[in-house]
Amino acid sequence: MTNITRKDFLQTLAAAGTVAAFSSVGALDLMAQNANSDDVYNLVAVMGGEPDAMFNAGIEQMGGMTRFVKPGMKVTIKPNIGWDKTPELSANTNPILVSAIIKACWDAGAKEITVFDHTCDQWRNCYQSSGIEETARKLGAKVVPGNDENYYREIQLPRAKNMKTAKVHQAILDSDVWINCPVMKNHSGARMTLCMKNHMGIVLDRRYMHTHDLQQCIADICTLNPAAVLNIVDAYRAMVANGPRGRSINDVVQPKALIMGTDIVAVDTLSTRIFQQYTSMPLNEVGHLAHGEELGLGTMNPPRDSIKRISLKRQAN
Amino acid sequence: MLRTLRIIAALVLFLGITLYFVDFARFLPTQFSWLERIQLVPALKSHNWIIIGSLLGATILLGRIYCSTLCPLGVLQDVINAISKRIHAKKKFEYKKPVPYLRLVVLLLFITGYLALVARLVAPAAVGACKRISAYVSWVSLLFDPYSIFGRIACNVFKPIYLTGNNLYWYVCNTCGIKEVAGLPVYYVKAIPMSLAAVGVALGFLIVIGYLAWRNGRTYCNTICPVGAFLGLLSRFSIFRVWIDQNKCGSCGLCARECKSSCIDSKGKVVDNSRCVDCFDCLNACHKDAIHYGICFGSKGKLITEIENKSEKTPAAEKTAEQSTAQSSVDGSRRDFVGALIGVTGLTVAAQALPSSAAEEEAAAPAEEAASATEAKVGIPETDDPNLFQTGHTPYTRNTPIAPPGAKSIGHLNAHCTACHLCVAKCPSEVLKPATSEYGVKGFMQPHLDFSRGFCNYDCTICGDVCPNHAIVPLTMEEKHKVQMGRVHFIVENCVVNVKNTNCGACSEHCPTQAVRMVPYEPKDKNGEIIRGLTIPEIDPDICVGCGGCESICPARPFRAIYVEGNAEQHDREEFEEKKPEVTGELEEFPF
Repeated sequence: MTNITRKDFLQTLAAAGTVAAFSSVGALDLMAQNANSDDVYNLVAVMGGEPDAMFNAGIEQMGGMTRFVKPGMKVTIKPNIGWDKTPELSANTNPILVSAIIKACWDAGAKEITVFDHTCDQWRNCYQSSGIEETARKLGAKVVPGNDENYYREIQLPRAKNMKTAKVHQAILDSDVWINCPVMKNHSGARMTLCMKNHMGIVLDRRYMHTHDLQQCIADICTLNPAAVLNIVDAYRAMVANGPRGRSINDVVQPKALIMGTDIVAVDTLSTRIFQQYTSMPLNEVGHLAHGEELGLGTMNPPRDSIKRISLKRQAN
Repeated sequence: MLRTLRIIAALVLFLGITLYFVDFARFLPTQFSWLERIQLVPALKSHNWIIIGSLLGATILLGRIYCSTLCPLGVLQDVINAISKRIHAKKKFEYKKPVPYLRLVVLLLFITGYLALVARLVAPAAVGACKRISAYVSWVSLLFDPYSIFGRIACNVFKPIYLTGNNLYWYVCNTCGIKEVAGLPVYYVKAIPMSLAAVGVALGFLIVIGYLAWRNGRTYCNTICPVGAFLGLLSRFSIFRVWIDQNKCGSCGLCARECKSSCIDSKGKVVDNSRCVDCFDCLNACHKDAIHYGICFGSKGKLITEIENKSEKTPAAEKTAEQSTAQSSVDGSRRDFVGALIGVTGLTVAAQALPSSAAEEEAAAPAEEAASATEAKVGIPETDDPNLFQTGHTPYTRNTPIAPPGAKSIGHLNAHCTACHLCVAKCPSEVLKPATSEYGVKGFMQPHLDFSRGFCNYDCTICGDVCPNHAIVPLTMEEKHKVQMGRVHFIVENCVVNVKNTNCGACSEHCPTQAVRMVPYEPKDKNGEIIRGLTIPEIDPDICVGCGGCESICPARPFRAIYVEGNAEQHDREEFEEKKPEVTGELEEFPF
């Protein structure tokens, strides 16, 4: 029988307490934020590469997918698949990016990967035309529909202002972690489609949001638990006019960029600023950003040195 | 052997057509619409002369094989009859005298309508009168074309059953946490049919025809069916036919017992080939090898009789049979039929009357708007979701229904559509709905756009691709993008942005041509200060396609703020101006 000294005991207790305190995702983020000097960032912007190359370069700077996805986890990926449109029209997330995310999740040891969206056009047409269904299923991910009330469960949003309850897709609620990956688009109502706006695709009743101050409701739904562990904006192509549906190829520009991070408000703010390079979009018009900051979801002014900027252009030459 | 072949061919085609109608999972590609195109009335309506020629040629050569193999309603009756035979083992048929008048009248009306339709094409001068005739008389084919009756049954009765089956399967899988089976995703689908009135009509026909089939076999086919009547005129003279060798026949009646068309007169030793559907059930029944299917120029059986049967018993019998039809005492099947006909008509009328009266009742509810609301065809207040903010208080009226894309005009649709509901069954967006009173009497059960479940997908051409009648003509994707089914109307008083001064934009979000676009809107708040960052819809009906994306998503209730008014004549929308952004290339450097 070993003797446990009082010192040993206290040390063990302290260690256990620390582990417990930091085991939630938020706390890990906090740790990582402090650890910027160790080359682990919470906010990464990449440009000048193909969608998969930019994602791989970015996730590496964030500490790899293993930081977010632990072996045996059920992962849900929520791209934008809202429209019956082909990838070059940029109404949906780039399928190459989605498959890069899926691969990274498998490599990190995910047990199950689910992909879905609550589409605007008929869901099967969207899944098909976007190219996401095909690539995702090829990689062994499950692609599930989001078109019917049966897939949704009601949750409470205690931090929300206008929308206190919402019916949210079970793929989100049943996942261990979920990853948010919209495509960058302008939006006739919400002004921008980015990570916060992409939350509308996990909700059943969007008409409610439209009638109860859309911008506030978008911020409200982002307070849900579980929050996305990773927010990735696909700006390989972007729709700068007539969004979110788009009218023709003339609405599309090609910034070849990607923004990712854990702070959803910061990711969306940086993305909007990239968007501003193509057309006017005052930050104060994207009302859900300020509402999100108010609800404590993140910051619209991330410190410059907290952003890792990568250009793949030189490497390509 | 012949019988087995017939059964196999019939079942394959029948299951194919049925699956094509109920197939929500898209196992069969769209091209399988040939299963419907080979039906006679659709071929006539779409002026597909190759198919018409082949079908008529086949009938002249082989008899009414169409009725036993190609016609899904015929095969459905055979299936029902086969089940009834299983249950009542001793069930037998007996010869019935022909009752040709009703079906000839139906056929006559049908042909008049069809000629008027053709005349519209060849003699534009006669268009006015012909239009009226063809639109109204097409009601006959609309109600009595066997393929369309089957289509309505498949779409409104079989499909909901199939979907419910799928949902039970989904429920079991979902509780067990299974998302895919053998690589196929398992998902829930809404099983409630688009129109309950259509279900009523389809069920009415199914019950009546099913009951007749259960009791008497092919009563419908030989009493009212215009296709049966038409092919019967030809099969009277067909080269191959079922005939009785009168030398061998002992008039035992074994063959007549098997005849579901009740067309074998074993006493007279003749077969009424105008009613015979070539099912070949009788061929094996004969112990004396007296009944055959084969070449029979003229009336071989009759000839032999005339030469050898000096007693002239048969011709006499036949004569009396023909004469007596007029005053023939009401036999069982006929009595059934008339009763059934009254039943169907009653149901049809009831189904038509029901929704409109309900609409009127509902519309009468808001008392102050009663006057304008009673004439409203769609402007009925909606209270589907109590959570929605009630911002829309200005009622509106849709005066013209919206015909499917490619219908050309409401007149073209009314004249060509036989309401088979294939487009309704196939529409992925669930936007096509059988009309009750929208098109008036002449368009009863024909498809129109209804935005309660969805809107017309800009990049979808399925309804025109599958329509076997060309009532909805097939469009290329470019044509579909141009065709204007209706025009958008905006009621600013009902709009969320105007009433609540918050962003919405759901309508513009769904607009494929940006006929609805969001423009800056700067109202003043209570303190007289300008509210910034808002946008409100602005419409350009000239570039609108009428897909209803805006109307379907608009959250304003009880009256929506945006709706589509149908075009009686469809035409191309105007081109929209394309603007390319000034900067389109790669990001040069990060702005942060």
